[in-house]
Amino acid sequence: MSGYDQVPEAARPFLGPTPSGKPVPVKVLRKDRLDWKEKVALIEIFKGMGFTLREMFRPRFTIQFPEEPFPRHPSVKGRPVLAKNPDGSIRCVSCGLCEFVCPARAITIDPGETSDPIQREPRDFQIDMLRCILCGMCEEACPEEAILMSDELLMATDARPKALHHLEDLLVPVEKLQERIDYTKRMYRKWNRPQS
Amino acid sequence: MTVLVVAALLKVALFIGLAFGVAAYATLAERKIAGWIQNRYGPNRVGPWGLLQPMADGIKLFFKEELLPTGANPFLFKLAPALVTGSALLAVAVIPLGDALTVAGKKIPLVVADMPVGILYLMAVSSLGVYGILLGGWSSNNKYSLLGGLRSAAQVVSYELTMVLAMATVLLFSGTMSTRGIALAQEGLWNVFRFPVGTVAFFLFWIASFAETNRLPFDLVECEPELVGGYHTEYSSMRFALFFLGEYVAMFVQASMLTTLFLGGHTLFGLERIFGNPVLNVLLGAAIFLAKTFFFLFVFIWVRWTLPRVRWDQLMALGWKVLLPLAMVTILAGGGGVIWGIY
Repeated sequence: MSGYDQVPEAARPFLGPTPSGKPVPVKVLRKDRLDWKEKVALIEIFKGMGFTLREMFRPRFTIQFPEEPFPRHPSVKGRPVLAKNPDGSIRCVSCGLCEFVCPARAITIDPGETSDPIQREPRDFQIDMLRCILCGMCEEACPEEAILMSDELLMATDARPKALHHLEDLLVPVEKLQERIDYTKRMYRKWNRPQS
Repeated sequence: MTVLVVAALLKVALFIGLAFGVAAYATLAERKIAGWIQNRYGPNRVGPWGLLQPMADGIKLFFKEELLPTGANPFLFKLAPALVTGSALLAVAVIPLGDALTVAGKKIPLVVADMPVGILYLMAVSSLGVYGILLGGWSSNNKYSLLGGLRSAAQVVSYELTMVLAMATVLLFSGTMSTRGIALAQEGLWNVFRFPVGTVAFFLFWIASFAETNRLPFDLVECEPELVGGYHTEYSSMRFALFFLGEYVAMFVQASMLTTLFLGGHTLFGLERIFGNPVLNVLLGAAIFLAKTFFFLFVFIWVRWTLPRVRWDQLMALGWKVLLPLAMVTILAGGGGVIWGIY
């Protein structure tokens, strides 16, 4: 099903050529003179009243935003978060690539050791949401799929310290981010040219 | 005597409270119904289903700054909104809400002033509201406001004759000018069912009442796209709110006049006396009256969100070339019908 089929039939002449390439003949209805029914206008008035009465009982378009979830596409770049593995370990290895690539210098990592001698883990991971521009470069730079752009858009606070997000604020179970991970993988496959 | 004085005071309080309450909630209904027609919800944040919205609006308007434009005539500028609201509230006095209550051997009809010239009084005070609009437009020292006022004057001359003639047709049927008398005279047959004269007069009055209350499709006086609000462009705060309130109280008065003159007021084919208790019957009559009135209020709002505004000359043409001749034919036919005993 193409986008063309989703457009109501009455609006299709305005779209231009069909997917098959044949242009739709546009028939312009031009009436210079009204007939007596239209001049009296009573019938048209009652038609209009009937229309608005019907519309009154149609479902609403409005989404009651803070209460009602707003459907979001995985391409939405919201607040950056850190993925947490199902076993509770943090994916981030404190390599510092995101910190380095961040154009707004919003990220500050405090790296720390783990019991595994070759593994590191952040002791603290700070993102200053007053600086973050939601560009998503940290996500692109990350080799571990650890920092990801979530779909959370409500980032306003009433105090400056609250805008500095620490490690515990940023950790999100990886299952919740799976859609975004799949999306980014798909996009990287599309953008990255084969290396030759 | 004491009973009558206390009853009169209570009635005044009741009617003013009713008029303000209906006006306040008509603004909410206006926005709600507009929302439904446009597939939205309308205001629903203040209180359950937005029911406290009128209070929030009132508080907001009270705390706004009152502006006086440079070069405006301060006295007339301040007088105009008071005239609009005052005249609309005066007209509430002749609304016959229901039948008479008997308290301590005295019959107390549920109308503030049961005057023998009720209809004349109504026409007089409801036309005064137009002066408020004219003065508001003229004293603002703003060309758009002045244009709004001019249009208001043009509108008065083109619909008010029709309105009075349609009213006069009803007076022929009922033989009285008291609003309560007119309501009681329709106990057998509502005026709207006196086919064809009563029906035509009803629709003429209905159309004219849209012009009287400056509602779409005849709200050339406000006309926000071209006149930026017309006569109330320069008004702010409670002065603006008074214009607004006056408009909605006038809507309530017009809706109740339509009910009284053509739809039998508090009567409903004898059903209004279904209870054995006279007090309950009076309450039922008042409920029937308010139900009919609210239907007309709903239609006022429904029409506003359906029809586009007519042009200035189109309103004049409709008033002079269609409505007035029709009204004249109607009153002649009604008079003939009364003389020859058809009605």
